[in-house]
Amino acid sequence: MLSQKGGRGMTGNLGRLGRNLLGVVLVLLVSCAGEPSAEYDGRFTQTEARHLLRRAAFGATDQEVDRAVREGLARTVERLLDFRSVDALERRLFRRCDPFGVYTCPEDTLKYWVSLLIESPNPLQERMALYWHDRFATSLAVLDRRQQHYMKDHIDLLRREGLGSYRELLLKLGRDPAMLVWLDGALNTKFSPNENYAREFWELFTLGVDNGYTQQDVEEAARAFTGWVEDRRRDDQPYRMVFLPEFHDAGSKTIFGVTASFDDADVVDLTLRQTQARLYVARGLLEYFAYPDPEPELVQEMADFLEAGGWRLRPLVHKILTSNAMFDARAFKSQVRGPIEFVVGLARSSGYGLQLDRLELVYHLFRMGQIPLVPPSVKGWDEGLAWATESALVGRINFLARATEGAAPASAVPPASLSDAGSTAEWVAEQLGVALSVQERERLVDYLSTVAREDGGVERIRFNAQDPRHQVLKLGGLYFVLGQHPDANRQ
Amino acid sequence: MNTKRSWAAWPGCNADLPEPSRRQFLGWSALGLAGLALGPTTVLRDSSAAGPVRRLVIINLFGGNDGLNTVVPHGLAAYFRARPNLALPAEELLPVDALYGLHPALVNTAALMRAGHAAVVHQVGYPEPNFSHFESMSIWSRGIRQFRSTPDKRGWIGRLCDLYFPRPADVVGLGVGYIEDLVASTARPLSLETIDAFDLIRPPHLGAENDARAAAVTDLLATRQGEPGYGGALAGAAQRAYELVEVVRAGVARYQSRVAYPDTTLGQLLRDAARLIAADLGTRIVYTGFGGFDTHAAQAGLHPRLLAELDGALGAFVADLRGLGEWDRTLLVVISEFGRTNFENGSQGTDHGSGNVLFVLGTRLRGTQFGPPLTEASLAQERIQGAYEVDFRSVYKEILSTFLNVDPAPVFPEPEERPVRLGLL
Repeated sequence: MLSQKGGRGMTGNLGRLGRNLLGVVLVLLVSCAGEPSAEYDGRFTQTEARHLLRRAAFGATDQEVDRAVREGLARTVERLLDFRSVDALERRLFRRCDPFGVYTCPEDTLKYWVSLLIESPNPLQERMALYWHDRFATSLAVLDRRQQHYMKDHIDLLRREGLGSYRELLLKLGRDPAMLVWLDGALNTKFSPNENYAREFWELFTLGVDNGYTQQDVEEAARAFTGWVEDRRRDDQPYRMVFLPEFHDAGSKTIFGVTASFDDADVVDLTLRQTQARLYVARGLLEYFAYPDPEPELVQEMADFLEAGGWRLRPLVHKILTSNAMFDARAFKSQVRGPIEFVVGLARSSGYGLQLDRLELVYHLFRMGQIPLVPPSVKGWDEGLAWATESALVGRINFLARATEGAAPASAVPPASLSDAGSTAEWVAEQLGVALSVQERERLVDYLSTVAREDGGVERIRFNAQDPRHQVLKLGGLYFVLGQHPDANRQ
Repeated sequence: MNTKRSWAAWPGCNADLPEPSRRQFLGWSALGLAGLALGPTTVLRDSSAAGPVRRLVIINLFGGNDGLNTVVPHGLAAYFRARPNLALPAEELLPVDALYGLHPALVNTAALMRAGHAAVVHQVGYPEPNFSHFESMSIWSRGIRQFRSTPDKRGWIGRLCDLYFPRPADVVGLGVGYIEDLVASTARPLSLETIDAFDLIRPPHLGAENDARAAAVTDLLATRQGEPGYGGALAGAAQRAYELVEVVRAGVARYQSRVAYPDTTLGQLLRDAARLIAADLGTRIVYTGFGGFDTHAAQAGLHPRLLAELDGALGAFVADLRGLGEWDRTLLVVISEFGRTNFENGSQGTDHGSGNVLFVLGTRLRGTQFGPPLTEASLAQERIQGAYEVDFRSVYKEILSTFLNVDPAPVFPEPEERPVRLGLL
């Protein structure tokens, strides 16, 4: 953007024709050379591939990174977006989690999603679900026994629609049972309207606080959302949500200055007609995948692209992942890795953590400050240094201690040719995104070259990453140590 | 909004945890052995055995507590008119005076009030009420009404500790995560979820290798302290975590008490607050709280339980502080981001309001009722529980100057529209 401003200044003393011509040339030049929304035109090496895979896939093994570099950016992003069927995996998890056929226990739903996060062949699908789960933060903490299955349906909604039509996603969200409980939609009837959902729908989900709606709009929209009630009649069955026309307020409402007998789909459409709605989506996704505080022109361009494409999310995410913005210097290491990203990232890139019971992973996530499916509030989780409280970091250290205490998973071990202390330190550092200084490398070589004895002394060893004893005593420790490095906690 | 800030507040979840896992969880925390060879601690070197200090304990009722059903204006007909279902009958209230009574669940609070150790400040708020939880919380946290246009992103407690209380254990957030109030620039307040979980796992079969790992970590972290941006901040935080685990664990070992706290979120948080106070780390502010006060629906079932949790925890905490000899040096403040509507809604609940009651507890109070009382006229307004009459910053400022003995002016740079002097202490 800076270059565009410079371009305008340079044309100051030319005639109108020359100015226009020069303008066209400059615009062309600028759009070829690094316009943030344009297709990425730089190098795609290990560095860029790791960055892309951390952001879009939580992380990847060394082999997966190599494959991405070999295939190039375009093919890699297409592969990320091309979801394979996970029906079989879902069914397997379902059986494993709950033999009774319905998700009536919160632990089952947690295990189900955590397993998908670390095992699914479609990491971007889970990445999007996590994004929407943070934005439309809904919790199983308020659900009782016979409502628990709502949460499984809720996370599946975010998984299935996360890259579909934004309009559909919003519409289904308003009819989603977990959401109807969480924000009192099931209590919102013609006879007793409840504004909780309507307020958060705009404040947190679609527009931003105080961004173009009034208290009056909130009250009127609440009426449009009415009609959903919970069917609790069958004593031996889980509850379910039903739409009853007699509870729906079909009367006339005035929203954003327009008056008609609006229903929930109309509120969604009226909302999407607000310019700030598309900016809100575009800004959020740019910040999630690319970098913080994206410039207004970039947001606007992505927003217009989304709207012009009929609010389909997949093309927008494709455009962001293959844009210059994605690989801008501002993007690299600009986020603090959240606990879910950290745990899933370690498991997906090295295999450490996969051996732990899924419920234990949830326990560690709890200690690190992010229980999946239990956000602290409808606003979702605070990010950045909010993840770095002393308590949360002790949680990270303890997760690493448990994850790395035993035998090394295959993808955590460097190739045989890189098995000495120095090469191993460098290889693991690269896996975890750590740029090692000379001093740090030296310290780690020193660490790998001795084993502490119980009497306080040390035994010198010739470290070999292929040696199973060295793997347990030292390679795991290397991951433990480098996992706490600030670089490994950013993405 | 719904707020559940801890696993313990998760209905049914603890009960649902399979027994082996629960034992494992307990086992892991017990595994954390003290005595990691970490070298000298730098952060807290001068803070052990700090000697007697006065301290403030802030309890935040997240979600917007319904002040009208907490300190009930039974003397006003408008109260009963506004709440045909939710109004509490005058004869059930714990007596205060001709206008007010306390919710029947607040037995300990009422006893403290009779002894002159608990006070209510009425109609506390800020100008131009905002009905969003998050906006309102930010206003309370930052201490700045126009916080969105203010470049200073710190919380009021963050500014306070940058100025006066810079060491990590000077200000401790308990069970509230990275709350905006505590965001500072140079100082680093400590944020703990629970004391018991603030301990390191040492896999037993790794033996002395655990120390070798930890030594390598701290050496690496030390080289990254000065990095700009997130890098240095993360390295510093991790380094502090290692140091503080030692200090806090050694400190809380001094705590001895026979007071039984209720097994509730706030009960356990306040027990941790007492353990921290007993640890003698020089802590000047403890900030804690619990959620669930956003009673949009079925309030008659929810609200009494929430107030009982508050009152039960307060009763145990005050008794414990007395036993520890610390009650005279402690002041408690109970806040919430806003009150609720005067009128009940169609779901037997109340919606977001503005002005609210605030409690102050301690032995040095000069009265039990502060701020202008509610009137029939103020209750006739729909959304606002009384107009805001007392700026919350006036309350905080008075406490800072008269109890913690620091100059509050730089802590609250935005002047109140209508500053008041309550004469609390």
